Amino acid sequence: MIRLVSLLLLLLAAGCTPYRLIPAGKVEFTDHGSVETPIDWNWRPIDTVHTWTLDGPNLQEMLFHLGIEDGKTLMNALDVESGFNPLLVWFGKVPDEVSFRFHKRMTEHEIMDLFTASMSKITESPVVASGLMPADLGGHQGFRFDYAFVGKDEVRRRGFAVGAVVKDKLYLIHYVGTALYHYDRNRADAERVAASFVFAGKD
Amino acid sequence: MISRRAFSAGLLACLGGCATHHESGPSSDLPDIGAGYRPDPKSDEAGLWLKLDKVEQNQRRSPGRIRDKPINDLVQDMVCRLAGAYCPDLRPYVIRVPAFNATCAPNGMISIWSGLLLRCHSESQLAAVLGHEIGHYLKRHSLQRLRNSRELDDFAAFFQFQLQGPAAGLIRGLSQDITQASKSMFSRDHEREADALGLALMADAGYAPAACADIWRHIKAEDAAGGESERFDFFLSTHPATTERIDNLDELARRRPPAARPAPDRLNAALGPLRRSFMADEINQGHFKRTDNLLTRLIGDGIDPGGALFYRGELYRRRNRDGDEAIALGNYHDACETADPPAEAFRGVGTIRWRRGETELAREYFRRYLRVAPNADDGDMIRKYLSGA
Ligand SMILES: [Zn+2]
Repeated sequence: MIRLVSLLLLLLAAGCTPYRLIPAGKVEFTDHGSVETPIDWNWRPIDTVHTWTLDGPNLQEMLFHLGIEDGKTLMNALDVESGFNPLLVWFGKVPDEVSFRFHKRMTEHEIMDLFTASMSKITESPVVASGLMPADLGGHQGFRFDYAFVGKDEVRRRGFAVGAVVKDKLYLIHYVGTALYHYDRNRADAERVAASFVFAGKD
Repeated sequence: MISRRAFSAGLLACLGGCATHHESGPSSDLPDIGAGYRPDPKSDEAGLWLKLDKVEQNQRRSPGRIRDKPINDLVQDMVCRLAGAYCPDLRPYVIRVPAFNATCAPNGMISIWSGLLLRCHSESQLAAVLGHEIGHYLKRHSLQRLRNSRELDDFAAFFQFQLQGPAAGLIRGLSQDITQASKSMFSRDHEREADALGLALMADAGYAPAACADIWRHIKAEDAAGGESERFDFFLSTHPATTERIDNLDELARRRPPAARPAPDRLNAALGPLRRSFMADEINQGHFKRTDNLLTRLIGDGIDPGGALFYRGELYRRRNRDGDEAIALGNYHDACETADPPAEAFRGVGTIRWRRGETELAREYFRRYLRVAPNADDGDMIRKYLSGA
């Protein structure tokens, strides 16, 4: 139906990849780093993203975009140019579509803009971010901001994101949940996970 | 309906040999609708209204509906100016979808997408679109199509879609059901009739009839910029249809005497800050050439040039090909020099300067940003740039 699958659809489509329990304690992300979680989560990889949830992805979800390289999109599914028909491209008939890509020289504002533009595509709803401020991720100077949107299911959701660019790669962790209940319920748990992030392999 | 896309889909269906679609000429057997009309409860039309009333009830509460009073008041007032005695039968809704589209359902529910409002430069251009939709309503074109096609569920689904709007990314890939429904919507004859009636209604109300062709010229230019004709080349180009439409409307406008009492132009005041949020939605779709064409036209016509220049800067900054950074910077700078610059334009200049390592120039613009927006919620981040850390 579309190239760009919504996060919700993506999660349904990924149904063949069952969730796996992550017990409280230390969690390694191969090559990227590790976190410490005070509670159990359910884990499932989608595309290049690690996703965690407690009650289901529509209720609350924690997402880890780790090591996004210069020129890449936040998820592979967001790279529209990769879906262009090479024959048409060769004939110069390139569709009028441009992906939102991370660039290593981006300022914090630009990364927040990349995030909201990408999330607006994923959720198929206008995503609004606010409160950009300096913050640490894994001991590196980075940023954090809040975001909100009303999804296609007409449910209002809130989220926060913490990130940093380290060795020209973007690391971004965010947590989102229903504004009415789930966001607040596990926000502190999510904050502790994000605060515990340690980059792999010290310099 | 006014959508260029569905209009061309109808033509495609015609080429595909669908015999049912174009058999009825203009103003066929049905009498025009009367003011205060309700269908006979036992008729197929009543069944359609019932479904549409349900769609309307759901959508009245939809988060996609734009509730800002000034634009809703304006649209309601315009509908009354255009429709006269039919005013109480028509209920306009403004929906947040970044695409050029409007429809009027047979039960009197009118939907206007935000992407259409963004593309109207004047109240007359919006009147052209509303007049066209009211034309379909008065001539009961939907019912004629329904009688021909017997696709009641598709019909309801079609109007549901008009109200909800597709996801921004979905606009190019309408679902199969909806494509079917829009194919069977209106014939070319119906479109031509709605164009003529719409122009008469808006000109009678004092609007400038030349605006009818102008709005289609905008769409034609955007289609050409976006390479839309190439997309359909294998079947037919949409442009002859649009060109024919423009020629017809130009001819009809020429035959109108000048308005005795010209209508006001309240569109830009009523849209206010909404226009910039529509620009933000527009650039989030990820179309480049089409959006560049739109923003360049708004800048050229002096329609919120501060906002349009800023978002054109954003469009280029995001694409980030060779030379784009300089174009983005130039647009941010120009936006800063307009009478009503968005605060973010100052931050935009600062951002590009910062990227380039031009720290002191960047700080000058970050300071200006904070002067314009002293309570900005990213103040902590900006102050970090200023602190010399
Ligand atoms: Zn029409």
